[in-house]
Amino acid sequence: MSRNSKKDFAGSLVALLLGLVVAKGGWSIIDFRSLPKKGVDTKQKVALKPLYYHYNLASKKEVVKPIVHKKPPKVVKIPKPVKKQIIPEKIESFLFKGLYNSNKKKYVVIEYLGKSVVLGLGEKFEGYKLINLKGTVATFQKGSKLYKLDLYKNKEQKSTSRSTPKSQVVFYKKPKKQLKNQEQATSQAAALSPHKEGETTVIPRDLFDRYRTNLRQIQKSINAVPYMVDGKLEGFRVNYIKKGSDFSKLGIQKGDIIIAVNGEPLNNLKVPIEFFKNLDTMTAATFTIKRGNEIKELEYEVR
Amino acid sequence: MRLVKNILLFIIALVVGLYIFMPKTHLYYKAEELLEQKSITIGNEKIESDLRSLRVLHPVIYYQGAELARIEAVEVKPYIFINSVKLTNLEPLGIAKELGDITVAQLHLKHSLLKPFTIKLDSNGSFGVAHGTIDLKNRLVHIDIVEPKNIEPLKRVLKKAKKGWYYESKF
Repeated sequence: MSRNSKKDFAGSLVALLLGLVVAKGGWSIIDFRSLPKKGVDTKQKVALKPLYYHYNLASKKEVVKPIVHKKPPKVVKIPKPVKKQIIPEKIESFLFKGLYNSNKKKYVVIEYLGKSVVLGLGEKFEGYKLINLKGTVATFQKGSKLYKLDLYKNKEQKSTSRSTPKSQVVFYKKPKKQLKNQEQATSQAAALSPHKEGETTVIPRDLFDRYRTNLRQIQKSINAVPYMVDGKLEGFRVNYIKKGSDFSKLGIQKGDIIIAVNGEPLNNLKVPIEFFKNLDTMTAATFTIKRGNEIKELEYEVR
Repeated sequence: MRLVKNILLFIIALVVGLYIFMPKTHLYYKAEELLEQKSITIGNEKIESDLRSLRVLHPVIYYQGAELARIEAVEVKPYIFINSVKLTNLEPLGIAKELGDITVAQLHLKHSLLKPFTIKLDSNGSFGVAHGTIDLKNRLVHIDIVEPKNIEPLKRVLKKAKKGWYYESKF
């Protein structure tokens, strides 16, 4: 190999190595200065608490006002059921309609003599004190006796007694005859009556179920798009409501921004998804909407 | 002449070096950070990286905390001048599922430095075969369904032209 070709080869080798070194060095600087060493942790974004039912206590005039407790009442341990014979002691027209259960707030809604009563944890009604709310089961105490109510059990629910096995309370749904009459009336008049300001809109169960099982029908009647502020979801803006449809009777107007459902702010898509998942067991719901500068609460009951 | 040859060799070595030494995994983390600012997060993924490409296996895409899609594999080939991303078996989840029973068998995105403001897109799935472009300058997505199959669930987001169905949206 001549001296010149040796020089050539060495020069080429240096150029190649220099290219690789510059590339490696460039990436190392970029990597060191501005690239993260860890990925985004998605595990912190876990599911929200389940949605239950929310009642706006302040706006319901007929509702018994709750007593505000500064300290949460002590949770009394529920004794194991006594297997001995229990004789029921009946109370007229008690119906467990809904509950709101979160870490901070716990309320139940019961119907008594045709009126809805909202009870917070530790509050008393007709001598029955709400002492615990776990899942869908509410525990009441009267004297030394404990009574349980399950939201999803439609049949009469028997409770347990701690001290006197002779006494027991049966929380009723409405008498069967009365219920049948109601069902007939609902099926005959399945149409939705228009929303009235400040009042709870009652949605007939069969109408509700018809929409629940046909989401396409909902999409044809109402359309809402995500409402973003500074790139963050703040709610859903209603941009279309079909005139004359059932949705036009719900009190929602075009341009309204739905900012919360059942008290849960709509700042996350999980909230509406959970809401739709729980439609089949839903008996009541509250929508918080922003109309111009005004904040309104729209309440619905499914019967 | 010798100098020109050496400069050329340097450039070739630089490009090859940039490709080989690219910190692909860390660049992926950076992309994840940027997507998170747009409320898009990627979870459950397994990352495999070698000299040629980056493979992200079984990622689940979340938007605003809600599941949007599950993908079997994403393969990124960063060839500097021509870059490509290939998604295999994309299955919509959650709210995206409400669109209808749609699956994407393959979605191939290609970007070339010769056309820096255009991303080419080829896809096939339950809806048929689609080709399209993403115009980064005009922020426009245009996708033509060239061989439609089951496009019934998609029809409400599609438009019809003489050539056939297409999707167009600004972002």
